[in-house]
Amino acid sequence: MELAKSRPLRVVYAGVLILWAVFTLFPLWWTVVTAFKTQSAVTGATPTFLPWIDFDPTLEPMRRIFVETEGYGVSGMGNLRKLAMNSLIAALCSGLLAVLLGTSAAYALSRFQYQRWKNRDIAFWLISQRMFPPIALVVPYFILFNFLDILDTQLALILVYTGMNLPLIVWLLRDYFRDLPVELEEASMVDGSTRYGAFFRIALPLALPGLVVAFLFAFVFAWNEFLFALTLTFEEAKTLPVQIAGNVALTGPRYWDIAAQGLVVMVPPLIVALLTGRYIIRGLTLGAVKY
Amino acid sequence: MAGPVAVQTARVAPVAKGHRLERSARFVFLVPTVAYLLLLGIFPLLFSLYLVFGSWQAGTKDISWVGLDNIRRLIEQDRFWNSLTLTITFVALVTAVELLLGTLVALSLQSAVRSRNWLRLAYTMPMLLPPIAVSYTWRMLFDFNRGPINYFLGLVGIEPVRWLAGQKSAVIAVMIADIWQWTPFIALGVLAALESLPAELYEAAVVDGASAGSLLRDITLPLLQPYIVALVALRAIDAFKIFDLVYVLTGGGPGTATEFLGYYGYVVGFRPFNMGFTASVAWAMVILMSIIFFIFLRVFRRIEQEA
Repeated sequence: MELAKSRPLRVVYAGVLILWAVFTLFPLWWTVVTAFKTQSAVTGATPTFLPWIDFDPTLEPMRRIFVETEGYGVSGMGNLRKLAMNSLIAALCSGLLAVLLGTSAAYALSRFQYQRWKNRDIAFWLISQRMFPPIALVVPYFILFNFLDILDTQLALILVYTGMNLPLIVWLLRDYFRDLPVELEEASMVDGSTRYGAFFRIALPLALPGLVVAFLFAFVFAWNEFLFALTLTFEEAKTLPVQIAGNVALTGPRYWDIAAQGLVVMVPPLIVALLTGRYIIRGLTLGAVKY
Repeated sequence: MAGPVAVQTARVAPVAKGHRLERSARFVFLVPTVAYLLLLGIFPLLFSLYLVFGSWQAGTKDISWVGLDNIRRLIEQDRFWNSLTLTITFVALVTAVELLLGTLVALSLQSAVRSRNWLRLAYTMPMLLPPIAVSYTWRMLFDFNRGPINYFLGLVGIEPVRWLAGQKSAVIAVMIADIWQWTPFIALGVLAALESLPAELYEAAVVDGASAGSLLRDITLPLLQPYIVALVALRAIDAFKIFDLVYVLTGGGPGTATEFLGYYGYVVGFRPFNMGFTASVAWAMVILMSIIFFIFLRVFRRIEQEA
């Protein structure tokens, strides 16, 4: 929809876009360059912005957080590989479990008419789960997991993250199934296949791209999550964000290393952002805005 | 949207032999998810409601009944009321600023034909980034001695600001970081809504000689209104939960200047270990957020009915 717009308005709009792009990208740029500075470049009198021009980039911080992890354990930087592994396992397993459960529920809500509780009521009940402040769940989780003796295990995080992502996945995939033609499934059922057959052989393959997007979202939200990981893990199952947040307490902000860790933890979400593109807004608005 | 699907399923349902199987399938497909959320969502929530009236010490496995003690203590604490006022002010302010900036960015994006996709991607990035990493990024930027923000201020002759050490400036710092990360949510949500508006309306109005200003005022904004309300409600609910940013950026300080409800609940529960008290704070939040959620619900139903 391109309309004749006045010239001053166009100039204002262009200005807004440029300013916002600078505002958005500068902090990211700062994290990237800081991750490749030496300690003295970070603590120098004036900030430096451009590698090779006003400072010499170095791989020292990257080497320290990946290679010298053993020695760094004492100063609080932790074992990055183990932490990344913990984050990865929690995010992958919870993402898969949530997609497994959520797909069938989404299919049910898009294909069946429920009588006692209407589909819409069930859907809103599901999404209301996502509205509660996590702090309200932290306390009962802590006590229950303590009772079950699974505090500080990956199982605890997987269980929690699955529940956290399930409502979103059902909502996203419900939309996705709705947009698929039901005629194919009907035809296969007329030909004698059961509902399960129609689901597994026809709907599921067609919905595969949707499942992938839903999984990627669940993965990122679990990967990024902090409060549950902070309260429910201590050492063995500790994730990257908890370690990064804890750095400052022990050593003061060693920005040169923290920026490197920050960059590492940012990479998977950035890849997902590139892969999912337009779906992001649909996902984050729970489908209120369709794209 | 549900309409056509409903009609078609109704036609499928009586298909001869699979009838009983079809009926059981309705539940087989849905029950695992519902059961999971009852177990890990509703049950813990009710358990935490019970804890509002209880006290639990690590080491022991018993919860002792303390009646209204937690609630009484909560109401008597100035720290709680400060945190509540601070949180509500914060949510109102960041949501308002994000709405204004976001709408402006959305309108600008709509006018950008060639660069729209690239810009949209760039603007999206902050939302998916780990809040902890984002918090450290802003901590570096706000650093008093070596942060680029104070450096740039210095270039235009402004004295360096003690961003994270001042009562007011710390709150502003948290707000700026939140605005940075979440304005795109409103911007891209509004842009998506803008792109879904019917072009014919505009064409007709232009034929009738409407000005750019009156197009915006009389057509765009009224049509956007339900979307904007839904986006704002979602954003407000999320802003209420602010925790990660405070944890890294200010630690609730200086003093209790940036102690938002989520952080307050955490500090009073996990530092002196008083789970019942945290449950009370959390339930105060649940009640507040439910109110916003119901507003969202009503608007969302309206959008769905119109679609």
